[in-house]
Amino acid sequence: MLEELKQIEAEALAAVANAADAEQLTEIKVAYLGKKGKITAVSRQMGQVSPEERPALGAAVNQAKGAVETAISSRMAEFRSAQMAAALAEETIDISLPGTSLPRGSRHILSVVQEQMEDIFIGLGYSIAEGPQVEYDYYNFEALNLPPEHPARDMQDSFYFSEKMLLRTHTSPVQVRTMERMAGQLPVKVISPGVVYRRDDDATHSPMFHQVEGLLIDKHVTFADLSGTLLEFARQMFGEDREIRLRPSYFPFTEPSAEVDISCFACGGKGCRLCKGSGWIEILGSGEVHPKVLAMSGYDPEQCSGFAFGMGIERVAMLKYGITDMRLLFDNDIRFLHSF
Amino acid sequence: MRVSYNWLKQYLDLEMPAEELAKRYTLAGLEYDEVITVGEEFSGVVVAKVLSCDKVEKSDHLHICQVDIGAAEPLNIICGAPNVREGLLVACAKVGAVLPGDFEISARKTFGYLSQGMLCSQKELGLSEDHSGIWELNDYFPDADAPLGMDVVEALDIRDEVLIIELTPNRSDCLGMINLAREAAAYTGGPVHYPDLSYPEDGGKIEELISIEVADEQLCPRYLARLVQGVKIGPSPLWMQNYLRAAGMRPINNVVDISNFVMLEMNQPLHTFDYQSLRGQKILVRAAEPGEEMQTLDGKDRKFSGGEILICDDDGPVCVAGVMGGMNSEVTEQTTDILIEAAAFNPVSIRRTSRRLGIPSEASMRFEKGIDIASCDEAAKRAAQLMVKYCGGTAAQGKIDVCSAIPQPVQIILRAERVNHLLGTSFTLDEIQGVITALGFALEAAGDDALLVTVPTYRQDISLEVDLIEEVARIKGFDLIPKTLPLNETIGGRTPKQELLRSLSNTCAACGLNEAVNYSFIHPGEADLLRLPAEHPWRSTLAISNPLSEDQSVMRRSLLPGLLHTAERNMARRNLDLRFFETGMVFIPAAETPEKVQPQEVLTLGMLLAGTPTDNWHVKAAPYDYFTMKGIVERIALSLGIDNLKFARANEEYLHPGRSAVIILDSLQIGIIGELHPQVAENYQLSGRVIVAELSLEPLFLAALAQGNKDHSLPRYPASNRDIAVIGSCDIPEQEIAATIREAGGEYLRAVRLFDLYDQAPVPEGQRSLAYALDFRDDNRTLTDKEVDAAFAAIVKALADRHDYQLR
Repeated sequence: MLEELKQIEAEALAAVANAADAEQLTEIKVAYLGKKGKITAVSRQMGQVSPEERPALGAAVNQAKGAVETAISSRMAEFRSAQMAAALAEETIDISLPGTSLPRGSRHILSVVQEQMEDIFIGLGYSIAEGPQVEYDYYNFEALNLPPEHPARDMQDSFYFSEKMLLRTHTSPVQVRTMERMAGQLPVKVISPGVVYRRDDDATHSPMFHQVEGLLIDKHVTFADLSGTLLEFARQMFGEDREIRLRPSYFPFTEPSAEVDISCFACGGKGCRLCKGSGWIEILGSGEVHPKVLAMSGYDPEQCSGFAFGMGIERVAMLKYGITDMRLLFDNDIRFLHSF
Repeated sequence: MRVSYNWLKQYLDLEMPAEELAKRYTLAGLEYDEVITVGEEFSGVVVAKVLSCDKVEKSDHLHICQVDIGAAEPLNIICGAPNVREGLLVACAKVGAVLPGDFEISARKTFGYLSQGMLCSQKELGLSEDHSGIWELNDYFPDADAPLGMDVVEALDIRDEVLIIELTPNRSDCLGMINLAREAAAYTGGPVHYPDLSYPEDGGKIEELISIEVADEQLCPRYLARLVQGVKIGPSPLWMQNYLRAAGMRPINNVVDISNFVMLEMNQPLHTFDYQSLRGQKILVRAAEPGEEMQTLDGKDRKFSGGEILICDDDGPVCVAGVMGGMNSEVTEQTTDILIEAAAFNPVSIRRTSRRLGIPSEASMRFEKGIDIASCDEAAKRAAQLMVKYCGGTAAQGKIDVCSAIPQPVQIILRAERVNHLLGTSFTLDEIQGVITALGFALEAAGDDALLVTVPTYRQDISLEVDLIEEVARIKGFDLIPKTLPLNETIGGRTPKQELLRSLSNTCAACGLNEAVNYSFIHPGEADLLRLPAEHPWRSTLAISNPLSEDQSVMRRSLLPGLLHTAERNMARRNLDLRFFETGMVFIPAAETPEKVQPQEVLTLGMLLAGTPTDNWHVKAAPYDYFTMKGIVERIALSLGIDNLKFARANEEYLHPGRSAVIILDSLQIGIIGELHPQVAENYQLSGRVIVAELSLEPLFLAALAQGNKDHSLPRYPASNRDIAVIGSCDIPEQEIAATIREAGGEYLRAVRLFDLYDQAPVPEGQRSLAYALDFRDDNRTLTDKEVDAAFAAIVKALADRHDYQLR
């Protein structure tokens, strides 16, 4: 009987090896291990052998069962993986086709640049102050040392609603309002970004544009501090190797006043078309807050000092991103908006 | 300001090239634009003499001239100028000469003669606009000792460099050459050479020749006059003409040129009257009467509104003070006696008058910026001296000076400690003193560490210590100031609302919208394009009183016009897939006197979808509709933690009546959403469906900030999921069905999601089937089927009772 069993096992293993597919393998399993299977049949004859032979035959049957089962399941695994491989091969796609496009949105470059500037000054400890765009003459001019009929008002041609009220020509009124609100407390340390308006419309001027202005007032704020702060800004905005140059200028609300140039980032200061050969690019106006401005807003110029600066976001954006036509910034052509 | 370098060198020894001085000016705050070289626009033009001049036969105006250019043989030149004549000294362009505009002179045959060059007018050489005839050089060489054949540029000393300097409004003193020289002397350290003002006064006493009265000292703080008689009108000296041309002024005659020259030299505008034409030998300075009239020397009749400053004689106005002279007192070829006016007029009045009459001039511009009242005397002297010298006149004795008050020089204490405190520098008192001295200001010690500085009257920009500190900084050089960071320690940041706006804008971009920036002012006609009814609040706008154009004349009440024009422009350029958002202020005018009271500025979000979504080969894009926009609005609200927006049918003429809604947050209407009315879309030349939404952000931000913490733990027990499909009338808003389900579902109902809507057959006409997925859950245990069944039954009953919606 052991002989017979060996033969059946060999026969079964050969059948498994020769099985063509999973169905045949299932049939083989039934034929040898099923209720009426050949190996099952041998184990059914257990009663016919002597008790002494039983353990040996039992072990042999179990061994044969196990061997065949193992062979079947390993063969089955082969079929499965072949089948899966075939199915996967079926699913092959052209991986070079374009991806499913999600609708593309964008922030306006002026917003992007404004936030960059805000973040730089937030890093330097400034808060962000805002104020109305429709302003009283007092806040826009008078409190900034620009009384009525002051010739420097011509520097900022304005849109008026009445003699008393206009569209702000700079965000400086926010500084005045901030000083009023702070009522003498120190330090005052804010930047005021926002929309401003001047009565100019040509290739390099837009009647509406954006500014970021800064104001720092404390017990002892020097012109050197202004210079250092703006150098820090220039480097964070335009690159670590930028230098700045301050040139004397005039603003009614600051004294001394300075125009600030940065070393040209296109040519590194050697002179090129962007900087018109000078190596320097003008980016902002600044100065020590005029004592009359401090006094008008309740700060004693003998007890504290401060600096202020202001720059156009358009100008910074155009320089940094190489935009040559200002009108593009307010044209909102989707191709322009997507070009950043 | 055009600054002739040759001229400037009359007052200062300057060794450096003009470009170098221009850079020094710039670093001291007088920014230069460029340096122009004069006298290089033409070449090959020489001084020549007309030896003979014969009429060309068959021509009515041409002459054939023999012209001596200092060579062995004279040239034959055809000339058509009316003033060509024998003996004339002329500027002759030889064959091969190049005139402005790259015009090369060649030999030409005309009427049978070979013309070997050209005799030039000033205009042809680009020196002035004068083209009345050829340029007569005899005046420049009075002793007839002309250097024939010499290059005109050399012979007439035309070559010059002109610095174009942009002056800041505080430095209008530098509109005068002497003050510019003083400024430059502060950098070079050299002495300033002031012109000699002496001249003989051989005439009669001026008091006997003219009387002067000033009616209003406020309008005219000083009126000073001198008189020169017996002048001969003619050309001014060559050097003066060159200087004036370099400064951008046209030489006219000796008297006018001297007047302009002195203005440019001393920054004191002068006026010259034909003394003989002044009726009654009298000058009265007074304000104009309303309606008063006079003819100015440009030939125009001017009518005054009253208050303008007029210079009058016995019979009436002869000059609009500081702005333009009158025809009746103009200096002409026949004038012999000149009354020189050096006055100071009220800047504000001059400014208004020149604006109103529309005649800005070099003189009015200087008066507007404010002149040095103290300089009137010297300027009048200078003019009289030059007229005696160059016009052959005799000066009357003395002057008439009607002056209410000559301003005294300001004295300021300048503390060294304060200089360094403000600048962050460590200049010594000596260094500071050096700067003040270089500027030419008088000073004396004031204690150990301070100076008492006397500021000359021509520096009206300096009145405070801080102004002197600026002088120290700019003359020492801003590059000497160190760069430090302020020591104060503060923590900066955005306010919560500023953070929310930034994050909301980023959410909009993440939703596929593109941020637009439009002007805050719009055309008032937008209201009509939007079909707004007469009483619509958006028709009430804040109007700009001096707009650049009607397109930009009223403050916007809505972001939609800007966004619609943005879409219009894009569509016209075949950009077809349009998704925009904009955040910005809209302006609600004050109820009373809106032009004087600040409007309410409302932070608003506007959005627009239009055109055709771009199809992808893989996933076909659904066309933009109300629900696309509603999804975006809900996503934006959710990003702020707000999930309870409500929508109610809107009633706006500019929106599709059946596809628009107002957006409600906690019973407050915060915005609108919907398809644009097709007529409005057509008005903006937009094709297809256009979807818009507009929301006030303040209430959204307030709601976002008011939220407390939410429960972030995960559910511990599983939910039972049931679907429900019900059929009922289409007229009931889905939002109400969902609300009833939520309410009737009881405490276990945690989520309601509409997953299907069907209104085709077999669903009866006018009805629809709505299918919802419902999640029931309890936090503390697994719900029994019985409990869920009960809740489900309650929902079914409520829907049937309230809305007549039946289980499908």
